[in-house]
Amino acid sequence: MPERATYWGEASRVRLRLWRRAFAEFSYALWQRPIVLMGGILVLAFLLAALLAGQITSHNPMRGSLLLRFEPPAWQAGGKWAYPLGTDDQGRDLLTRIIFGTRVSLAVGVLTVGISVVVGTVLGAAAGYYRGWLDELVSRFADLLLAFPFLIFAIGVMAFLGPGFPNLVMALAFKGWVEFFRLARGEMLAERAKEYVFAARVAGQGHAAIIASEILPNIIQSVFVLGTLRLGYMIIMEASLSFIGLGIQPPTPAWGSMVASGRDYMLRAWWVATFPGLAILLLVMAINVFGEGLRDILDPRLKIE
Amino acid sequence: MSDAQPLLELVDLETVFPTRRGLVRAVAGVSLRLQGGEILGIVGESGCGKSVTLLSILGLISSPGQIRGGQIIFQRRDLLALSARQMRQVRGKDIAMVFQDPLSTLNPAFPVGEQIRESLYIHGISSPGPHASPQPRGWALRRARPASEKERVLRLMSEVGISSPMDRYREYPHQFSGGMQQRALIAIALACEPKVLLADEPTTSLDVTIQAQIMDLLRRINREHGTAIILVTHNLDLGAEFCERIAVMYAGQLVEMGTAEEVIESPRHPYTRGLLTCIPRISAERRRIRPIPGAVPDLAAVPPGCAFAPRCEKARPACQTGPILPFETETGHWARCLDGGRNGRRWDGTSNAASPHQPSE
Repeated sequence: MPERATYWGEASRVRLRLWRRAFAEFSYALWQRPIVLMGGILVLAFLLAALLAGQITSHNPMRGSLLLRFEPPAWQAGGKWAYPLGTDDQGRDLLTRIIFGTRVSLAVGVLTVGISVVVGTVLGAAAGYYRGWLDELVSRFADLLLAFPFLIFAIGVMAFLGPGFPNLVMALAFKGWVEFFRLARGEMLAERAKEYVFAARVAGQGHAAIIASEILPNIIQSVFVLGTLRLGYMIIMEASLSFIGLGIQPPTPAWGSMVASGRDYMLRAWWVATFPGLAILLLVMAINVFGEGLRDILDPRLKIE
Repeated sequence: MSDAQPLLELVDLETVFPTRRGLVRAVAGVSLRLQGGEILGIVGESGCGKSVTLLSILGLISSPGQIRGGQIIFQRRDLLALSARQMRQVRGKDIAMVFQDPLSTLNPAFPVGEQIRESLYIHGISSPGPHASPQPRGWALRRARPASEKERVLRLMSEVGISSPMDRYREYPHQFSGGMQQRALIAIALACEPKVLLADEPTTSLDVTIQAQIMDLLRRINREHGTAIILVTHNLDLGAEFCERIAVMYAGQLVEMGTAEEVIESPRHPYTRGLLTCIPRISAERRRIRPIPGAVPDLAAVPPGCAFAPRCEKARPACQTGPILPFETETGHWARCLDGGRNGRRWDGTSNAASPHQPSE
């Protein structure tokens, strides 16, 4: 019995050491890339802002006071520190609305990408592994979807479904999965020809088990990398749709619709449209920089042993 | 030995692949018997159907290829009559396989120890672990697992000669050397204690020293566990040293079979003789290496009669028309050659050591 205990103690010590080493390697790689690190910190900051919006600011994001219309940013003449970025046409605090708008952007982005990843990967893995009619059917459907420009397609679907949060997610995911399908299918085609897949069959494993437990762990990493890169794109799509009035409807704070409403007062109050626009820029850039950096760090093909 | 019920018997096995050039008979009527605990070698050039024979045994010929005829009898069951589900239970558990290129055969995403462990639970020998669960692998840190299961893997690893298995359990395939990878692969194959181990050129990608170690390991496994081994190789020397019996394969057919000694010392088929004279040897006697003229026939258009006749210097008109029946000596050594029959007697279909295919024409 004591022998057994040593086995376990030994093995978990080894495991702990390996985890610690992997973490140390990752942090070191991150430290080596200060821009990626900055992107990561920014993404984290936006995430915290979205989660703790109510705690960060005491202003009401939906209702303002018309007496406080178009207060300029605090550092300009006449600005107040109670409204650091000024107020909009209805006297609402702009910073508060931007902070609450983070929720919409991140929620739409994460949900759309999440649905796309799951649907696209499952279909792509199945199509790439089994080929045949399933592959033919889904691939042709994907080709069909790819023939439409994304924005035009989303406008069409939103015009048909009507605006609103769930419809927006559906419209974006309805086309968003194609990218993941194509990636997963391609990776699967490459993996299924490899010996280890055949060895799994020789060992008596069934097809579904081989896909899920043998091949998927080998392709999931590139799917995740594409996911982070698509996240920024989906956020832009949401903002674009909200901008033209087909996405999230006012008074719910969404960056796209905030830019749209500020557009009319550009000369009188430049800040109303500018700051939500800057928020979009900052978040998307941070996500892209971080996502790309993550790929560089994690991709074993780029890693030097 | 020859009277016992064979563990695995191929009867007139025929595996075909339709191609644009016509029907390729990759395995054209192969019959052989494998006794429990025996080591049998199948020797032949690339593309002669050795590997396809092994895959046919496992029922893993992928469409459009198919097994068109014959029987594969394993422990009195015809494997060709089994359902896909039943066949899955045979694979890995009763009949396991070791491959040529160990690195690509191991899954790059998992530690080697986990892969060995996995082969235990595929056949219900142990419960599924983190490998099968959808949870991230990191969570396994906190989950208790029966120690005996892991102990079993560690024991297997040290049995196949992986040093300090405790440390190597968690390492990934690319961190192993080629020889160690092959040992890990053998450990996976042995995890369920199969009756038959199919070894498809297991040492081709390894250097000579490691090759010898791996062959020693296989021989030890054969002795200690009584695992019967079919070794497929293009290296006649290796086959001769390692196997009790050797079958020489040419163009989808077995052309000669006998004990390793007989086949090497007194080859009866001109193809076997050709193989032997084209092996370079270091010896006092200076001898030219004589390559076999010509090339393996297109399997979509194998000539009638003896498939080797176009390359054979002793070919007679009768060789081209066939049928070429196998001739057998008293010891069970036989060759499918009209010439080899001069010293032997005609095979009467009763011997257990070999039951070659009788052409139907």
